[in-house]
Amino acid sequence: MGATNGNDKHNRALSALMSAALALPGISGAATPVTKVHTDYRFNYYTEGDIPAAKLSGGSHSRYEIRSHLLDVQAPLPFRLLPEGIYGDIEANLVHESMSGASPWYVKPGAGTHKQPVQIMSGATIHETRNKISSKVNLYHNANRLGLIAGYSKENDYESLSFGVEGEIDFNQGLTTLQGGVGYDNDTVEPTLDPPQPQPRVHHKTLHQWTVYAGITQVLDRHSVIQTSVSFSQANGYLSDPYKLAFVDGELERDTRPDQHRRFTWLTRYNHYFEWSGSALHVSYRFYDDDWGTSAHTLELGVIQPLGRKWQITPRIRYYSQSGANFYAPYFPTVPDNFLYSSDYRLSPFGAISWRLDVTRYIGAWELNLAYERYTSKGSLAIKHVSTENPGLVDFQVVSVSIKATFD
Amino acid sequence: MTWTRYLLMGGIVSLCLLAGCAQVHPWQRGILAQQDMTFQPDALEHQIRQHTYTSKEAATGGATIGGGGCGCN
Repeated sequence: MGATNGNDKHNRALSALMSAALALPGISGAATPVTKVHTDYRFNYYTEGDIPAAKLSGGSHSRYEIRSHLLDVQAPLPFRLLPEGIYGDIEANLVHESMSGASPWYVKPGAGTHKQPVQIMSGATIHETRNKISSKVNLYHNANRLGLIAGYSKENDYESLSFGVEGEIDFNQGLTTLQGGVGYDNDTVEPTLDPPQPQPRVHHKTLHQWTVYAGITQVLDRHSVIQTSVSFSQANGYLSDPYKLAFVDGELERDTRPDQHRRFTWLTRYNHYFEWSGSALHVSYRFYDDDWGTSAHTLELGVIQPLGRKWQITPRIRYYSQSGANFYAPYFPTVPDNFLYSSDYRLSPFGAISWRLDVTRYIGAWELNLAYERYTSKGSLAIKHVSTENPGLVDFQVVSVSIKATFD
Repeated sequence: MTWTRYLLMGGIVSLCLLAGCAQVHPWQRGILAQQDMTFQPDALEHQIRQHTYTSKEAATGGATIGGGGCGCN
């Protein structure tokens, strides 16, 4: 009887505390637990544009398409499971993807005086599925949060296990938040025969990666908030692409990259609300640098604009530019001294522009969203001059729909 | 790669941010608490967009950790 009374008092006290905390407007991104069940489903249809005939020298001209189903459910943790003064929520995230089509296989010198590189594609034989499950438990004390994360992902030829811990601490009367985290991934690669692999085949390779990040969020005024964060990651193990080849000194060699990769990212985001239009401007800039010789800049602008009480549109534009990796070239006239070589377009210098439009409709506790995005990449869009564009650069489109609902 | 220089820049920016802030009382934070003023108003959309870009570009990372790897990149 006494224990039951104690739990009742505990529950009522926690409930009152949470109500009071949630009634106080917190800063953007401040740690507050969910008090209801939130569900979010999204279907994403991704298609790549055909590779132009002038750049293709063999294989399929059509490229990848990916259908992705994502489901996210968040729910409060029962009070009885938690110590006094602590409240929490749990989140489960599921992803199912099916991928099919052809992908760039290798690049070789084309015919003609200047030997402009041309792309050889794999046949349109790739059929893969990817399933991922991840979960996060958040524990809150006042406006501070501790998050525990675990995830597992499985594809035909790839398996990944991940863990992480992250946290947020508020101070300066809730106007300043420090956040940070550390994560670990352990991955296994077991390439299939499709698309073809050069002999001898790659069998059972592993890689692992550590990531750490730290950031600060600051309220600037009633309408503005800014966040800046840095992250470091180090990956070790098999980091090459087992399906791709490089044209080296007249021979086809396996894509060969270093077995270590260190990365640095600096992300700054700024939101500002305009009372005259009721719109929220989102601006972000990301700087990236790694020890493979690649650096990149990403700038994105978006405006969330309500239209009355039931509609909202969000146009966005994104610009991206990267330099090439040290061991990248469309093809290699001679064998490099370090025996590292890759012709993967994703390691080449290029720039990209994408624009996206989201339309959202609110119906009671439901939220419906339809989005379209178009992405174009070219050597000429890069910040620095690109002398030879990789023929495998990709353009893609995305159509995406989502349904969100909140339940008591 | 002069990461020390980048860290120093980040530290300077952080100090400038803290120095240029107005005092905003709790009763004045209604706008800041709105969903459209969060940095990820649609978490699933952000998740799939970042996954797509990471699989097609060299750059990766941001104010988050892990998420696991995939054979897409």
